[in-house]
Amino acid sequence: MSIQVTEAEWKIMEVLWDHAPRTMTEITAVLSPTTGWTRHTVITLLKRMVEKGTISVDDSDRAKKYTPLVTREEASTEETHKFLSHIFKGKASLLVNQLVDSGDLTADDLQQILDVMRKK
Amino acid sequence: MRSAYLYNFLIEANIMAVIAILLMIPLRRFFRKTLGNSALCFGWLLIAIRLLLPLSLVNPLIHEIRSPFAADAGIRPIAGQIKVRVGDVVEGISDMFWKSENRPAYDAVQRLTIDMENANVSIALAKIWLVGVLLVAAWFLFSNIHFRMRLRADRIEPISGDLLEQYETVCRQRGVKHPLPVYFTDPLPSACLVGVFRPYIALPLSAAPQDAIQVLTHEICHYKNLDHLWGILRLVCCMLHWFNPLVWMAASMSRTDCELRCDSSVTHSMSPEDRKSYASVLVLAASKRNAPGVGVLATGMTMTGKRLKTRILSVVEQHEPLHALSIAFILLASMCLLGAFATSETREQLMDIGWPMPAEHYLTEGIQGQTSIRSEEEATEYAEKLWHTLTGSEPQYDLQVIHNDDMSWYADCADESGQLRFSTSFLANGVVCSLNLFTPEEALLEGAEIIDSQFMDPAEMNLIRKWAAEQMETLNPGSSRLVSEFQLLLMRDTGHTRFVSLHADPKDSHYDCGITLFLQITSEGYRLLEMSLVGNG
Repeated sequence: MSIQVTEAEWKIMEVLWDHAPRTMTEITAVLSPTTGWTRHTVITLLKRMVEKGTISVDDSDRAKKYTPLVTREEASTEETHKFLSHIFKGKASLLVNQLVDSGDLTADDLQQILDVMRKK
Repeated sequence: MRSAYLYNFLIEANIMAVIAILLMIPLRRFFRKTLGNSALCFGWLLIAIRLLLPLSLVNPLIHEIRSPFAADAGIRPIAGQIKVRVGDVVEGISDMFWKSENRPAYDAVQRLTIDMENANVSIALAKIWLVGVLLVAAWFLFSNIHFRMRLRADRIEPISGDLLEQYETVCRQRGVKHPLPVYFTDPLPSACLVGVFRPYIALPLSAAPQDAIQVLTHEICHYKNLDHLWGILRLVCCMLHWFNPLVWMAASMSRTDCELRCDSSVTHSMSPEDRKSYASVLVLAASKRNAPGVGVLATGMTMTGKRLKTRILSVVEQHEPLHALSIAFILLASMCLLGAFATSETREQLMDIGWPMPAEHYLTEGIQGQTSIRSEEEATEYAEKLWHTLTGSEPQYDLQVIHNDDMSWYADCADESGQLRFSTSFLANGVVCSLNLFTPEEALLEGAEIIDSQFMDPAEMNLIRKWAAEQMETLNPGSSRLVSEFQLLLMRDTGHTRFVSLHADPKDSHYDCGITLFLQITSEGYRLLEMSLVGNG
């Protein structure tokens, strides 16, 4: 299944990956200083993410709690695939060449890229 | 509406626009900094005006480059010129097939020739054009509806708090009395001004707060520059001229220039550091594709590749245009636009051609005029001469002359009691289209003792035919070679005198026209009472 996480939703996922489950109020408190988002914005995004299946909601308590359903690795893999097909027309080798040429590639980086390519 | 008018508009507009678009390309490449983006945008506006307005102003010099073909003034502009030349090529191909005895190919080309003459080909092409317009319009409509629905579904909430206050301040500074609504939207690759009649701004939710106000300022500039209306002009140009790829290119280039103009406006008073920060926003937006396409009525900050590079350089290396040069360019371009509309001949030039009445196309084009009538005095003199031809005497009554809108002349005279005695219509080159001589004997035709017949003694018929042909050659020299023999339509015998109606069909059976005569048989001979070139070509 394709994981669709927008740039704004990614910020919420980051908060949840750091610590979950969290309530809407807690998430807003973390994000508002840097993004300026209101409670309404966070509520709307959480609702969409629940519908998409990227997070789950536990409404057994008075305050709903949200938990991520995809891991950071799974979401990162999906984004990398998108990046590859967007910039390098799906060819991971081109990305590797680019990174090697620019001298930005470490051993760990290379291993991660190879993992992505295997999963693809 | 004749398809010729559509072709004249489309061909003239596209020829002029293609020349202008090709000139704009090097101007944008080499003179952007000196002319400025506003001047370039003005140039695009002028091209759009040429593409959209079916206007044809009088140009006294156009006669010098326009051949004497196609006497029909309706097609004398470029459509007629092309039609004549295409006709020549088709005729050449037809001759080639005839000589090579390729009968099927010859027949096919002959059918094509007939279809061209009968306007079947031009009507078919016009229908194809119309289908193209409708398909492009449908695509635009669908794209816009889809885009708007997606934006609506992805809308989060209106901006508020500090950002709203900053936005309202910017609107006041920029002269926007009523700030447009701004909605956070997610996902959205870049901010855009959406809509035409009730525009609003869609702002990406992922935009960093410190970048958001710059982005909003950019969109406000679009609103102030009426770029949301400009979008409609682009769409209509692409719709009407869908067959011309340069028009689509021009739409894309003009959109780029509108973006650059807004960038200049936003960064005009920024410090170099702030300009670099703004440029970073552009680069960030470039990493996300899916900006609104040219068919969508929305601005979009996203640009990639070469255009992004142009944009970044334009922002970072702020250059002030040379205002004198910009003004000179605007004035020169405006004059060129006027010239681009000047494609009609003057009335005097059309009179020289002898612009025929549409109804007698075949006959009046084929008959060579013997004179040139340019004034009322000359028209009166000519009408008097026609009277003399019919009666052998000078006019007994004053002739009244009227110059018609289609450049033909009409003359008549009435007796003391106001009864019409004579009327005639003729072209500026002297071709006589109709003659009427009203005699007292015609009152006998209202009597009860008339004997009508469609038969006449063959010998007498031949005499009348010969006489009729001579009369026609006197009035319209050369007309006899265009028509067949005169045939009897009706003879009416009042007991005192006989009246005869004759008609001659055209030799070319494709044309539904001819010459009709009405004459009186008297003891002295024959007397022409009525003549008309009838039907249409």
